[in-house]
Amino acid sequence: MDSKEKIVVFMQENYESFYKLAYSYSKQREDALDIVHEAIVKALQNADGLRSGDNIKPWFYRILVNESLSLLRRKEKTLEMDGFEDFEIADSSSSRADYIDLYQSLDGLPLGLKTVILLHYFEGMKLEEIARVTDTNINTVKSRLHRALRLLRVELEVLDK
Amino acid sequence: MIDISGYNALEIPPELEKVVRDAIKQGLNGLKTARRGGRIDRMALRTAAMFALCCVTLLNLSPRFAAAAAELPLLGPLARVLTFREYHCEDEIKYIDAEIPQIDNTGKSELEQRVNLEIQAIMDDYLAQSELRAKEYFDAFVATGGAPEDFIPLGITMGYDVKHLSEDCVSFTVYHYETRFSAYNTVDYYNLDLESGRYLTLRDWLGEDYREIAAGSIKRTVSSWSQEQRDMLWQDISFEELIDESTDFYINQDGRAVVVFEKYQAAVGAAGALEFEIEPAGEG
Repeated sequence: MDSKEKIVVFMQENYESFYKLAYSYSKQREDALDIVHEAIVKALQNADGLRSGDNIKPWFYRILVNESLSLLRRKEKTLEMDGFEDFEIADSSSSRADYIDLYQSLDGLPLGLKTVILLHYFEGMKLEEIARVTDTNINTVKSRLHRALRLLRVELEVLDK
Repeated sequence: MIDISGYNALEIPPELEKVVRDAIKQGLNGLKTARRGGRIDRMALRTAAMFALCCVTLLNLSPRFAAAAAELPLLGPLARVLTFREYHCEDEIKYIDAEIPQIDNTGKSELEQRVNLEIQAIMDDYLAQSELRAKEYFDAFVATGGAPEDFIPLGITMGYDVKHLSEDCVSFTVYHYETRFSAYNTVDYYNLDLESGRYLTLRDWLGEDYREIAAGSIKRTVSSWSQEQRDMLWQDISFEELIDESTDFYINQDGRAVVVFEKYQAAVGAAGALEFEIEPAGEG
């Protein structure tokens, strides 16, 4: 299989995940479909960027996440990366400190932190893969994950599991 | 404890699969339009259209240019046999970008005229239906309180792919895509014998036993699939029954017939349209 064929197979097998991730950013069905569409077209048109030994998932998710963020930017919904002031825990009434519907709570997070949580917990990606997706280094990813979890009031031990 | 059930339970829109398939097609073919929602890269379109228009005008106006182009390696056989007519139209409700193929310079004017008229009629029909849908959609948008200037025009793309071209025959597909109503996307298959002027059927290409040959070859292909892929096929499928003289197919560069089953014809929608290259008799 050449790299384009591999990409196509990967897309056919995982497109529902693409949609969920895109929807988690856009919160809007049509926008999420647009994001998925654009990301796939871009990925295939730039298939040369994927070298033979590369793992497709982080390569493609970088395009997918960038498409999601650029759509948000176009819609001027972007939250400031460091604007934590307005953040509130979605479910502060819960008495179970060790239980949280993470997904519901994510919407209040700054985008940089939200991306790390989405990719790590919902898409099962390793921290070093996330560093490639977000074009940062692993220490940045770790610190974002810590900050995000602190904001989400999740026990930090989760990290070690 | 992390609960990701909210994420996993996100509803997947039924049209997602089609959006993905179109995007893959577009990404692979480098089609210049047909972005979802009609957000068309107009600049790129204009440049491409301008080039194409020049080309067509020259071909149509000057037989000498056509003769000269036939000698260029790239434009050669295409310019000789298949040319195309351009059609562009843009208004507040639609954006049409069409390349309508024409058979030319085959030395058989009757054949050319017949085929060209038929292609033209089919394309005109698709175009009329698309325009009607665009109008209905626009009216509904305005009737429900949308501002006319906010309406995103419906993108309509028509064009063709040449699959096989030799002195004896030409095989090409003609496609019609809409950006918003993917259910109306169509692909038509044309296989023309340039000698007799007839449309070729599978019987012509594979011989009297074409059913057994085609079905046998398809079954061999299917048996090499993974279980997961095989599960996509309809359970009670009979390939013999799906093969007849009206079955869609094209001829590939190697001169082999490739049978095409439309989406839902042989398998669940997620599998999309299926293509099977048929091994000629004696090779199976």
